[in-house]
Amino acid sequence: MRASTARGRAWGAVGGLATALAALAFFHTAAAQPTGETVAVFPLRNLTFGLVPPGLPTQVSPTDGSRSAVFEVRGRGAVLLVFELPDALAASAGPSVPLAFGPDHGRVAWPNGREIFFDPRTPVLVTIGPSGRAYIHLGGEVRPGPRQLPGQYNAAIVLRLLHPGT
Amino acid sequence: MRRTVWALGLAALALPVALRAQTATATVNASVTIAPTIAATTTSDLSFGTIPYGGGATLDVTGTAGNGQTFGVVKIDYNANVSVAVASANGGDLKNGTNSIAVTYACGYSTNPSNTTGGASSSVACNALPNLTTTAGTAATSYLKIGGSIASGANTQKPFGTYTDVLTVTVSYVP
Repeated sequence: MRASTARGRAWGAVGGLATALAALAFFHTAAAQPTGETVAVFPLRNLTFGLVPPGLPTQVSPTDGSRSAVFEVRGRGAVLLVFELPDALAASAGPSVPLAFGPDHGRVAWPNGREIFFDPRTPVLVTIGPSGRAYIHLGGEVRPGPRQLPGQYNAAIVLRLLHPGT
Repeated sequence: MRRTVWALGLAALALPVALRAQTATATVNASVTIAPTIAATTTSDLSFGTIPYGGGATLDVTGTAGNGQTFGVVKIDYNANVSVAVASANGGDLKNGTNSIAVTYACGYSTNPSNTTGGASSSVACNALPNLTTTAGTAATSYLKIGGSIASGANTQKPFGTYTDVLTVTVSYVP
């Protein structure tokens, strides 16, 4: 009897463990499969201010067709956009040029022609429509000093997508 | 044992929330090129002087101008590396109406602003000038000296008169 009870408990434990593993495998599969809830982001274009004289603040609009940064987002549903924005562009030799972003320097454009502007300094929630695509444009402003050293200055801009998977 | 299994079961149920929340990242580059200060000022025109019929002329930018001759001189101010290009409007000829005399232009850089003393350390073809270099932000000045040569006999069977060309000097920032 004791032995039987112990065996029954052991089978029960194995069955429960199997159920747990099956559930784990199911949800892992659900998360890994392209069910329409996966998201991806691709860099399409860099943010390029071009040749700027010292002392002249220069803006790039997020609607600029050649100089604004562009990301393509693919997926479905609500997506939280979070930018990691540098506050300066740096030269290899050490000097830097201040870089600033304003409330209208972010732009989301959908394939159907709809667009919104947003402040890239704060996270923004957008919804990817039935097309499964949206384009994130980023402008900005450089503010070189009057004695800014000539040369090329660079920085990386990271766009992070958070998709709740709801 | 049963508690352990339940604990695993709860962990498995809680896990999907973490797995289904996805993140994705992409990176672009932001760049700006700060322009240098560049100025090019013509301080002297190039003159080979008067050439006798059947004769020639030479203006060596490493030497001294002859009687009645002057170097072409362009003062170049810069605070970053620059390239210098010289273009002839007549494709390397001096012209007087439809008549032309071939010239071989030669150029060099000098620290001497004189239009009769070349002072260049070397003479090169004007389409093969090396870049002028300086530490970024450090102001510098160089004088482009333009001379050259007209071969002996190049003016035979040419009507007398003044033959001219226009040389355009372009100074460009080298990032």
